[in-house]
Amino acid sequence: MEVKGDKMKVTYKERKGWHYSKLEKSKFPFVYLIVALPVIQIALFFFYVNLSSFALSFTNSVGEWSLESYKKVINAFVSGEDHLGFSLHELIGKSMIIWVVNHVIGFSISILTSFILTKHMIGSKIFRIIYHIPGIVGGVVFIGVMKEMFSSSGVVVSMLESLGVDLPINIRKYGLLGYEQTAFWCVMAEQLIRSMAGGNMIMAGAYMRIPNEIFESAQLEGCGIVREAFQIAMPCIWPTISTMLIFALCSFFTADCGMYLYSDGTGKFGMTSVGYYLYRFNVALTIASSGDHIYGYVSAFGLFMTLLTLPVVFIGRKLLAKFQENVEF
Amino acid sequence: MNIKKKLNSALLKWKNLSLFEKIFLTSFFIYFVVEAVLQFYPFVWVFNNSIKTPDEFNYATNKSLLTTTWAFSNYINVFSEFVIYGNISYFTMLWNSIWQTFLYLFVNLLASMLVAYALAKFRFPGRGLLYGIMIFTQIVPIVGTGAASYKLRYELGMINNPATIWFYWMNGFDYSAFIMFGTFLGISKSYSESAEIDGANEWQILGRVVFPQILPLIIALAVNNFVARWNDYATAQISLNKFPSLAYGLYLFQQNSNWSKSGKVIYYAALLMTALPGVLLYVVFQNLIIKNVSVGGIKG
Repeated sequence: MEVKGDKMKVTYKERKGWHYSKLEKSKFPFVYLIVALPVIQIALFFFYVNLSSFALSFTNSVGEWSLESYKKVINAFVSGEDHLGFSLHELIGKSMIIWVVNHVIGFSISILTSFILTKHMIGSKIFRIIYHIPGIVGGVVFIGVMKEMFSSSGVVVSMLESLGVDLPINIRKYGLLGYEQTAFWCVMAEQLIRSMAGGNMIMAGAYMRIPNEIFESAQLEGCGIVREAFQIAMPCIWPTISTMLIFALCSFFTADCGMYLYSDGTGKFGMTSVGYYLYRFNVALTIASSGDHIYGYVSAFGLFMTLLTLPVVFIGRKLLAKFQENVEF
Repeated sequence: MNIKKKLNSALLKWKNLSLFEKIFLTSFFIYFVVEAVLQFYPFVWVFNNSIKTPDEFNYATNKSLLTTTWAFSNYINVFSEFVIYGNISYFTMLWNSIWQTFLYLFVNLLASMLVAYALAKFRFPGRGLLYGIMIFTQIVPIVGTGAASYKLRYELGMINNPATIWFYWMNGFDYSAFIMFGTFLGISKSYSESAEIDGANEWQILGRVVFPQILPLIIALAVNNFVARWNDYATAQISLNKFPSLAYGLYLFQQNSNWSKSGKVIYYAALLMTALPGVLLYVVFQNLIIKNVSVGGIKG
């Protein structure tokens, strides 16, 4: 800061916050050393990968510069079917259903249930452990278990049979996941149960951090449980809710929902989604000489989906920020 | 005594509730019980079938809840009979899961801690840019870069290469860094400043002053990430398919098994054995995870 007479002149560096004290400068080598490897990692595996993906999207099946991949993607969107025989309209429609089931229904319910569970329910610890089991055991184990439940010899088919439901021969033979009309909806039912329980972990943590004194004083003033939930607890954890909603918007087209595992990697019987579609390509790339020609198409498809998702995320963020209140407790 | 006290206070609370609130809470209690049964019963079913002898297990009888044979030997047989690719045993897959999980946890949490510490506690040119990157990577949805990422890893020789895969996992700008950043901001600078006055250098301050303060968070994140990594089949399928982990092994076993009677009970036992470490860790550390791992608002 330069002082001329009684006027102080603030330099450009100071205004921008780029002025550093000697002590701060002495710590630069340490700081740059500790962030060096993570910065190289992110530069390579985020920025370079994204640029490379962008460049690949302008190549054809033999790797030459071309708009062929984009033409294929646009044709696939217009006609509803890609050059590999997948129905893109079905994939996008199913991704939307998955998103609604997981985030609109499942997550919304878990916001309320986790409040009741954390603040008003006896035995909440036991419930919490049970609800987190699907998340803890992971996709392969949980889906492995659920596939047995939906199989022809599983509990669900047995229950339906004992209730006298006349099941089609394919269900009796291959189970509910082996029949076009039931497979996707069985996965959705399982997803709904899982997402209702899964949201509890993060929500419970947020609710537990609200001091009990807030609720106690509200109760003394005659506040009931419903008002407590909607007018005290939820506004208090709104930053957590809005952040989770932003993350949810980001996963619009990437959620696979175990479709790959449920369908044994084939997407059969309508068990598909955009996430499944993209993962399937990644697996194809790992098989030598079978996937090289799809780099361009996959990258163009990904970029196209990103362009579709970006406005949704940014509008969503703006809207959520409008309702954001800074709550301190 | 403590339980009696809690029960008494719960009873007192219950008495003070209005009729509407009593009905409201009772409905939720029923909902919680039904949800718990729906979540837990499949595992009881699988456990029950995992302790049947191959002879007892068949499609006509496996609907019964309780077994009469209690063949716990199936759990020992997993080590010899759960085999994929013709020669990779459960032991090998277990070892692969262990090294992949712990290597990932070490490099990922170390990178996250260093980035979060630098961003939260120091002013330096580029700080704003790095903070922006951390936020950007969290909230901007980029779809379909798997192909380009695979191509890069392939070109760098990271596919099926345990010696280099660690660098791919060294992401210091992910969810863990985001959470650690918030925690570092909340830690008072006075501890580090006192240590500095006492002559400690930056490494000593980080290792002896700062690290112990965020250790509970690191343990919570480690348990959380352990569960995710232990169950991750995708990395093993795409990047390390010559080193199959248990999660990938379960997928392959289920795919390739001809489902002999013995294969099915062994598969059930292997499913539960694979799930056990995560469940035990969660049960032990659940309070630590809930208290430490939280998502706040995103600013920027």
